[in-house]
Amino acid sequence: MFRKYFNLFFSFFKIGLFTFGSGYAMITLLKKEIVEERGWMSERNIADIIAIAESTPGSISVSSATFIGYRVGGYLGAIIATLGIIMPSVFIMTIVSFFMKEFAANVYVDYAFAGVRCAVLVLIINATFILFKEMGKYYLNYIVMAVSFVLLVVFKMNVVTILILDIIVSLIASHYVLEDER
Amino acid sequence: MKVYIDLFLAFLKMGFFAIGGGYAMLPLIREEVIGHSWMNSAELINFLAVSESTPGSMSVNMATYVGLKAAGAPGLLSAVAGVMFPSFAIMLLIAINYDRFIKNKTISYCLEGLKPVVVGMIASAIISVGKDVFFPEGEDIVFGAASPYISLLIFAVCLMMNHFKKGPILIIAVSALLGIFVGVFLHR
Repeated sequence: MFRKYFNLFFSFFKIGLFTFGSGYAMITLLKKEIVEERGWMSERNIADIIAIAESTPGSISVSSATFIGYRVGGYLGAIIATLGIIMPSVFIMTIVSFFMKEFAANVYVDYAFAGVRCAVLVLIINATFILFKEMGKYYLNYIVMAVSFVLLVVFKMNVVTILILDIIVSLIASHYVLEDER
Repeated sequence: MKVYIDLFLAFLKMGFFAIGGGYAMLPLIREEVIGHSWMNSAELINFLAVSESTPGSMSVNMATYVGLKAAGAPGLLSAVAGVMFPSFAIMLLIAINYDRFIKNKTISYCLEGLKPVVVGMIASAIISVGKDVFFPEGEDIVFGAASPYISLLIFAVCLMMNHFKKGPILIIAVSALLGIFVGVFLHR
């Protein structure tokens, strides 16, 4: 009982400590820690959670901690996992805030982060494959994927607009599919 | 007392409108944080650079820093509680009702429909992060003219490690050490 909550806290603390850049790189960590090490969720669950987290407020790392925490250990689990994931950044930011100028001017921080950015890129590529695998392989999905990519990269369209457009498309498509089933 | 309430409410607003990644909420952050004079524009730019090189989501980092600076430890707690509350409440509600939700065909169809968009979003992050890594500009040019090649080298090492199923934590640690090693070597 106690052990489960301790594991939840420790797992999410670890994920929080190594979440650099956008939360996307975290998906690889989540898969390793939650699916492979602990077996709390399946890869399919992770894809669901990321889709939900991405379309609701809050960063995907914190949102997924709350969700997984609740599924594993109820209300207390949700609180513990969420605290676990934010604790490292709150601690580190608190320390850094006293040395803001020194930290911003420190060359070793620059060197280290220039390296970490390369790792983050690899983790994001990895995350793309993980979620692509869990995506339904229909023509409509490939089209939606390509269109949202182009809208983001070429037209710099707002994420929220794209999500709303997608939900409209999904609702229309589901209407026809469900109609066919009847 | 008023400053705590102000912090809580300002960050509640930021937490609520933070959909689709930290940078989408930059205009709102600017408005709230500069509007309340918790930071000036130069400090904000400085903060964003520092926040990138520390772990955690930008919103939590921002709440920690601004809360602490504006009103000490209780300020930190108010700001972090504010920024966390919307996503915590919403995700908890969804987690509680998840089994019921996915039995609903329309909802589960929409959830499936979100997945290709999320893949598109992450793929677009490959482009933007890739640009920063291989074609750095301004302050991101850490290793001088050799920056793109050094990035390529570290990227290749990380890619190999990933290919051989090394864990993400090890990959990040190695990349940081390689960065420091190359930096020290070049600027000896």
